[in-house]
Amino acid sequence: MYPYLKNITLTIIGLLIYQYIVAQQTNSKPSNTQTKQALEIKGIRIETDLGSMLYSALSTTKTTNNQQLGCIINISNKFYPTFEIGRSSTLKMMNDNSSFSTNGIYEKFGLDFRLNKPTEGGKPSNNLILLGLKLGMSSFNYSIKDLKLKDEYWGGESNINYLDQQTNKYWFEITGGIRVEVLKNTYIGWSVRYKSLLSTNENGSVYAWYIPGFGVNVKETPSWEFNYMIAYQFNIPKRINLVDKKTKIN
Amino acid sequence: MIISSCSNSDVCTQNKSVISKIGFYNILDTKKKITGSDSILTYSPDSITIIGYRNDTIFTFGKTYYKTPKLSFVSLPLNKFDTVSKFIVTFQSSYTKKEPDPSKKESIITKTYQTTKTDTITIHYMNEDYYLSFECGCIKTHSLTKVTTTGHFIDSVSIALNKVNTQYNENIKLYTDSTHIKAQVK
Repeated sequence: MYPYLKNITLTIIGLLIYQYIVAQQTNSKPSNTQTKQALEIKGIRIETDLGSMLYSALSTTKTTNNQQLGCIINISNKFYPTFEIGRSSTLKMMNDNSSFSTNGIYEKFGLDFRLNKPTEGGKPSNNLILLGLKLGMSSFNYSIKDLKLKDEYWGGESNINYLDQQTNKYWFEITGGIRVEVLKNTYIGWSVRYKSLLSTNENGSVYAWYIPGFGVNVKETPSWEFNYMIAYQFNIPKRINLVDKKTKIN
Repeated sequence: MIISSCSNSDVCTQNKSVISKIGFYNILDTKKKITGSDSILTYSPDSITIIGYRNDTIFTFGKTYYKTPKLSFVSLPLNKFDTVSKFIVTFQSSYTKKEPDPSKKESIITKTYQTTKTDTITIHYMNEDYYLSFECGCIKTHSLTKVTTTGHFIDSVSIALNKVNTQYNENIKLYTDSTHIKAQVK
């Protein structure tokens, strides 16, 4: 059932992107005299997840820590290529004192699309409604300690340890969110992320319970993440054109 | 802030029970030897008691299948921390037999007899750790290498499937021979 859900989700996001591109083309309606606007870098936004930082700082158990930093390039107020890097660690103890621990770096890159127009009521607006698709990856070590193995019939008990297991994991994310400019070039907002691993856990393999950047890895269950973001945009004073200056359409 | 999912990831929902399954077969039925009026007409153990046996210690919480009609298999856990498991199997059987009526000439009556027979089944195997998940931990699975038995009531044993895991397939075929009882009664 799960692969169907993944396919349906990908189809929906594909249709949304297609609809957005068609809408952009329809709105522009080029005529013989109209010019096509060049793609240009308007700024670079740096943002971080305030929610995770506060949760890590205020958590009494200190079992999970997550910090991430994102770098987003503003291209013509429409397209936002993103690169995120983060560090995540966790220590999970079960009631029988078995434990899982990991500490790793993760990276994500992808593209956000702006769904709202750059102007509202004729006035320029820097508020953003975003929809995006990202690829995440993490290479990390993890340890599982003191798994109990008991023989109820014959008696006997032993502890099993899997130490310093190394793995790479890849996943995709569908993201949606808003950013509101509260001060000049300073934004706050939220993002919600739907994440799904690109590979399944092989039966019998000692797979990681928690993946840095992805979250808890329960078999065939996608992960959700909610971020409270704070961001600052550095404007590019001199426009850097990605396509030659205004190209006249014949 | 990562919200994993709506499910409780601390609860183990997987099957952790690794049990060997032993099927019972009557060698007479298998070989179609039952013919003639003086043969054992029916055979079905009234009860089977199975206990584990290790280092001269009997595991008293052995399993008893009491008056189980048409018992076709039993489930036995193998020792996770050893490579040999021994089980003492006691068959309490009743059977019926046709024989001449001493009070009436040329008359046949059907009599019921009770008997008890004990055999030891020895199972040799290799163990392997199998990781299920962090919530469920590990289980031990087994690969059967050899099965032997004493031949008091059990005629023979054979390995049907050497992998013992959570799938609960029939691993061992155990052939009982009712003629042993018949010979004892005569």
